[in-house]
Amino acid sequence: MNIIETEKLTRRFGRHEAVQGLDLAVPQGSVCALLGANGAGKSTTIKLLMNLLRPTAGSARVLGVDSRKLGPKEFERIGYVAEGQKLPRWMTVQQWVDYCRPFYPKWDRALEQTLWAQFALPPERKLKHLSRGMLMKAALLTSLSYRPELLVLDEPFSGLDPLVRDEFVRGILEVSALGEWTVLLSSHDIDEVERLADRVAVIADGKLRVNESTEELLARYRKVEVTNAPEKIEAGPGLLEWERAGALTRFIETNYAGEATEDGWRLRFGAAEAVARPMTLREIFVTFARVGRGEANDKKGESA
Amino acid sequence: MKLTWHIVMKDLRRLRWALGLLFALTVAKIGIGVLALRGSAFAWSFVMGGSLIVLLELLIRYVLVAAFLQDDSLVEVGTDWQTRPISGWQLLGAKLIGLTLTLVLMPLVVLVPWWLHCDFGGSDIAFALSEHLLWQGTVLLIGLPLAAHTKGYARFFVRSVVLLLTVSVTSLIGSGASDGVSLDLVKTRIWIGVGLAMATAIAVTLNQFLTRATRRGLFIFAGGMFGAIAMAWILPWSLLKYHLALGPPYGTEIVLTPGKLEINESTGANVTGRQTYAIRGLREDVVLEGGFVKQVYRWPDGSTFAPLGPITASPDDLRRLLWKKPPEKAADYAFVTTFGAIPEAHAKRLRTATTVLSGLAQLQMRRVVSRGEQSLEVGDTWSDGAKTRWISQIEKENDGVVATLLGHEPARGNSAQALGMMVTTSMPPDNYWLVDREKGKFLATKSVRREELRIGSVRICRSEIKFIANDAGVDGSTFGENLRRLKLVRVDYESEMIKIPVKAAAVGSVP
Repeated sequence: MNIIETEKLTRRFGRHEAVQGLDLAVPQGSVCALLGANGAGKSTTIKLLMNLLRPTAGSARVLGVDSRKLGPKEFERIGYVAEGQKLPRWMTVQQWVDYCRPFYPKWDRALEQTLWAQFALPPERKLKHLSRGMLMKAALLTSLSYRPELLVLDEPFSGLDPLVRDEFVRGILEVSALGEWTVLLSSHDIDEVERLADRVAVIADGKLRVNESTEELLARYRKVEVTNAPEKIEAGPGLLEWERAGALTRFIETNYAGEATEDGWRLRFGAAEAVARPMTLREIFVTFARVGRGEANDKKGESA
Repeated sequence: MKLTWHIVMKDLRRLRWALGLLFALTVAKIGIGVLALRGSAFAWSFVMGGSLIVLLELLIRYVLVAAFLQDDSLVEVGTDWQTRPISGWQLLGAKLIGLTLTLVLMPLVVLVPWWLHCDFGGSDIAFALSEHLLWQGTVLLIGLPLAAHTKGYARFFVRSVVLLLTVSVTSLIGSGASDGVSLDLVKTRIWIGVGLAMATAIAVTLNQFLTRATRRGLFIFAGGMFGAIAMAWILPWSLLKYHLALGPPYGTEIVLTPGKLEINESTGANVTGRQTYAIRGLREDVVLEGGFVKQVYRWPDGSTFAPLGPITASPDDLRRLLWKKPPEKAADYAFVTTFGAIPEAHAKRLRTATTVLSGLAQLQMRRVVSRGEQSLEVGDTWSDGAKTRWISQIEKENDGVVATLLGHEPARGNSAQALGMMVTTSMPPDNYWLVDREKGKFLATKSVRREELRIGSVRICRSEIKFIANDAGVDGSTFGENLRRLKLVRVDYESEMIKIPVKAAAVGSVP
């Protein structure tokens, strides 16, 4: 069962199409990372999902409800933490937690205490005097204590120093071990995402490029180098970033399936030697970002 | 409801300093009133300070409307409440409760004891309360829709100023559209325009709280305001003419006898008419107020017009009431109506055939309702309902006597007074007379310095009245040598507005 489903979800700002026909599915219980470069459309997608923005076209269902009709009942089951969220900064951490608590019938005091201890937050300090990391932790505390079925984190690592980032990731990992919840996480911080996510969706230039499990994605992508490939051979379907430098031909295989794919290369390149290397999530992400940027430039060129 | 109160408490806690300041200002304002009632002269610093407090209070209340919404902004995307289990209705309810507590109930904590201190009765309190609600409601109806569509205080201020300027400019331009239009139609236009503006304010506020569709709200706002301005300018139908036609008959013994309608011809539309009425049947205990008589006439085609006519009243009328002199001839009263420019079509008809113009005229009558006689002792107090007066000082001067009176009464009739506007006036109170009980002579009011502070629906009056002889045979320098022999006669009047039917050119044709 999918906790989040979108169908041709589109959002325009004037002439700019920030999200274009997005078909995204996030299965229950998964930790799904929404990856994309700055301005790719990640935050807009999340805002559309949380009913903070209205779609221009298409639709989204969150917890089985049309995102435009998300109301108090659904938000009792959703935790939302975002970078730059407008928080009541005049409150102390304790006051904010006390304020949020009555809105959630399922608020778990024991979990709250656990999170207080885990995050080491100063209860009497005002939110406006907290560091960004502390602020994110406080937001996380008020969004986790009621054990939400869906936790949505929009750029939670942005601006955090490595130590705080590590604590934050560890925090999420620890609390996700406490319950059966689904996490949707948007970020362009690949290293942290790699530790957290079991599912990856990549957005580039407003379009969804990939939506599958991290394991499958890493298995499917290979960086290939062919020495002395015949000159007449050109890039084929499923091969990205094809380039030739002297005797060396490089490309990215997007449908690597072990022996079967390597047999295909032998047929294609003949006696040439092909070496395939697994790619990291960062490399895959950078590839998509480049492809997205190239398409966007092509589109600009056409319209010009 | 529990969660709604939870939000209210959060807002009140956040704004506690501003609320404290507002409360302190209200207390300070009423404090000025209490000091004023103790009798010291209303110094300018007193009046200016008080006025400053009133303005500051109004400003803080208006800003508070925005402040209540800033923490839970409806415009900014991603404000904390938007992803919490809080519905639009719940938020609206919380904000309305918070604003009602702040703008309406909190001032009442100070105002109600103040009103009771000033001897307000049930109806006085009800009236003051309704004025208080009217003002706070106006602040809310302007501030809330603006705040609901605005991010930050700076924009809120800028938009408020823009709205104020727009309303002022359109009113100024629109006043030109009222030229040559009957008063009833102008009133209808204003009421419908204001009603539409209020409905628009409510609609956009609801839209924003329930859907956060800001752009749609702005469209509704623009449409509503356009409709309101259009109604205020071009509505062709007067709804008040039905009110006029269905008005209750006023039983009166007064008979107005119209004289001949004189038409003075010039060229084109510059045709004027003049009608003199004789007034008979006035009761002996009643005098007519001098001034203009408000009239509404109806032409044979049904259209209405409202000329003005001065009424002539004898200065001796008052003395007749006070000292029961023989009544003057009732025929002394008359009023003259000048019809002004009569449209050519109507003038033509008036010249050629018998034409009856029927209408109503409003006359203001005055009748003595009480004649209180006070010995001239400092501290003597007299009351009439919530209207209380007392003598705070008496001084004998060379040519007469100066008495200082203090008093308070409900400030009805001008809702701005509910706010506490502070004014000074030099309106002479002509209802005090100084009488020598033994000699039967009296001094009339000759000069007066009158100050008023209008604080929290209470009008505080301080009058320094100088009595000087104006009757032959009364020597002002010797009058009142023995203050114990003097008494202050206070005459209270009841003013009554009557509407009586009038007819012009009822008999014969007009030359």
